[in-house]
Amino acid sequence: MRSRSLVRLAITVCLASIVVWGMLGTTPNDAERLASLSAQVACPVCENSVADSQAAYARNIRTYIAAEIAEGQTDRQILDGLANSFGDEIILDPPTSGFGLWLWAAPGAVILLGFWAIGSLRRRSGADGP
Amino acid sequence: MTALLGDVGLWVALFGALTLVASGIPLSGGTMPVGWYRTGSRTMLAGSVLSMAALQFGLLSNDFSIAYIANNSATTTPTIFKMASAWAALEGSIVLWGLVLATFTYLVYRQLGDASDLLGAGALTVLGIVAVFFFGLMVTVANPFAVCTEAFGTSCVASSPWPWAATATLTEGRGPNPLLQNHFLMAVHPPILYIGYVGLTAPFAFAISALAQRLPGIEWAQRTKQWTLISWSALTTGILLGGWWSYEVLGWGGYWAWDPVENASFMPWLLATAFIHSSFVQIRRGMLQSWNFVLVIATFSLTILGTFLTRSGSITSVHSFTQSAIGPALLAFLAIVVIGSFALFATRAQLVASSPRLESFSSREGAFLANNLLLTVFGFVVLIGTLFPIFVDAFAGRTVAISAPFFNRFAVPLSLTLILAMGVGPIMPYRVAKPSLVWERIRTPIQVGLASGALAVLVGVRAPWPLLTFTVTGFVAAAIIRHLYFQAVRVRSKTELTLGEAALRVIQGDPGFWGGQLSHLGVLVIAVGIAGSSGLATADTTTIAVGDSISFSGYTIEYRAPFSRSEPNRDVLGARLFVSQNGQTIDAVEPRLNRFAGVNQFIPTPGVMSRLSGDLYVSAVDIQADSVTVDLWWFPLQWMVWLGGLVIAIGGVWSATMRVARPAGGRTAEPVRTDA
Repeated sequence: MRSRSLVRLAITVCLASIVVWGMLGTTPNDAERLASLSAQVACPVCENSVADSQAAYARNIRTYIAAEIAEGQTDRQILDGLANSFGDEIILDPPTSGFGLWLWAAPGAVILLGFWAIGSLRRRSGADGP
Repeated sequence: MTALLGDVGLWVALFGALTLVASGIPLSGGTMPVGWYRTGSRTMLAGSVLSMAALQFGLLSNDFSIAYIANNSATTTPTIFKMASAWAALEGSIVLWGLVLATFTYLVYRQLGDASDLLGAGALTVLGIVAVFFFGLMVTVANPFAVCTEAFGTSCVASSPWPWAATATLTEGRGPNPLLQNHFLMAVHPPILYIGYVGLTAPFAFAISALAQRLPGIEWAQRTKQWTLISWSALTTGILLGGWWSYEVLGWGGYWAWDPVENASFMPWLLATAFIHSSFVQIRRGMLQSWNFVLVIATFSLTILGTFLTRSGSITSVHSFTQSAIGPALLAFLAIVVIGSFALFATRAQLVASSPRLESFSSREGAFLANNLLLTVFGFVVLIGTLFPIFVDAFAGRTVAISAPFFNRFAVPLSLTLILAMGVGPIMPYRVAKPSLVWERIRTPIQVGLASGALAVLVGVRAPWPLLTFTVTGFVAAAIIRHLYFQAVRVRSKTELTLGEAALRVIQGDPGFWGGQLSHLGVLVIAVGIAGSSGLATADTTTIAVGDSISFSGYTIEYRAPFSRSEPNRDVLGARLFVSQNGQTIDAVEPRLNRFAGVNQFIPTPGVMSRLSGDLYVSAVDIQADSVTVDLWWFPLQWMVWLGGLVIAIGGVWSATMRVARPAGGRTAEPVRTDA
């Protein structure tokens, strides 16, 4: 019985390490980086990001990103470069300063509020809320 | 004539709605005017059916003396899209809204108990108030039957609400927005979505009735459960059909872009989902009574907010039809709903029974709380992301766009945590779940989850989020199946049933729970579909010369020839591409570019080849006689997104409609409870 559970444990650990290895085991190739970066860049003349558009503007930005990747720039450097040339608006992720800070902080505040409400439900009767 | 009939229908419905409101006056004295409620709900239904029938008749008979029909239909519009034009623009879509609301009101009336059913009666009055607003809109600022008094080309540029006004003669209408006459889903998606969206008025009405008449407790939650589940199932289906429409029509290679219109339907869905779960806690354990009021009021407010966002012109999309007086009207109604409901709630809060103490975080209640926290935060993220650009524009005069990356950053981890909770929550008993019991119930599922993740690695998946999704969904699926299996084994040991029969007995013994588990399985199917189609997609853009072929994602794609044809409402230019695998032609895809009458722009229709392994999605950028330029996508497991939505909805309807089965015969039923 004991040896059976040991075998089970070994199998579990083995499976878990395969999954973890799969999750960590690759760095994105250039095409994947291009896809993920262009999905983060706004396209003022089309609907979504420059990733989803055939507009000349979107194609130019993609060409620029591909060239930067080929030059060995990091993702951060490429996005910063785009923001410097075209303004912060070109980055789809809202900024983490000024107005944008509210946007990022608010969900966190709601989560904390929720934790507090649930905690109070545990501590005393009468409180109500998640 | 048709306009007059339609107008009469609207006024009759408005009269019915006013009767329902007036019925609330004797109700406040404690007596229920049953006859008034009967007259009110029947009249409202009859009037709204008449107005929709008149609109349909006008559309089918090309009655361009009605401004709405002149501007949204044409003689060349195919019949199915003529009918769908009834909800293809602002005024008509409110007629549909009214019809759905009147139908729900009538169904609530049919379920009214005897003269002592003050809760149900009050709900009818609240439904009447909401209906007065919408039918009021239709007879004033958004009249779908206004007659056309001045025409320019094929459009109507001026109209009059009086059906006897002198009409301009138009022999041809402008036709619907090309995007809205391109796919049969246009006939299906809006009505189903509206059933869900408008249906959420029913639980709101019961909640307000309970608060106004000082009838808190569990009755309103019990009685709205069915309405919420049915509406929620329709909303789920409607949202997914909208995504499918977007996928099949827009050709940008996706089905969900977090645009404000999608968010407008998704926010109430999230909160309705939270309410479905937390109402169980109220019904079963008496907890979360005030919270459920908050959820229901917020859910309904979000449907009105969503309508305002999509219909007022404050954002641009295929859904924001026109800028008109309807925006301020909706905004005022939203303010009344939010302020009125929460004020009522605040004055009645002391009546709401205090909750029993939460005995342990490790319990079914604890899991429901986690579920509610996650869904509420999710809803809040979508809300703030949707409203933020409007606020920044209003207060700082700057344009910011909040788009997919922001939403995904929250949506992916929140969804995965919610899914993880789906594996743990349902297997925990109420009150206190001993860690040893929980561990015993999730030990094997954890191994199954890791095995499914490892399997995904072995077939070559290397992306972190998809792998995590495959692991977590495997775990949850195993937890659900394990739970059913052990309960079936227990039933079998006490009876002479086979395992299959025993499992059936378990499911029939608690259809509410197992319907919910079916919905959970549907969520898992969607999650795998999203992980595959978004996380593992590949894309390319290429130009293929006639007779040439390229290879993409394991397929060889050959451009044979362009084709073109004229249809009554559009000219179609297409490219025929043959798809082959291992030297064998397996399918053909035909991405097309459509030019609609009076529209100076090509509207693409993508060509999609669906297989079990995924979808090959081809969208034409440019079609020439000697070459074609296409966007190519490979979306693994895309079909699972659509299937999952269907499974979720079936689970919801099943939960709502199935009664607890009592086995026939002399043997007493085994009480099969799903929790220890």
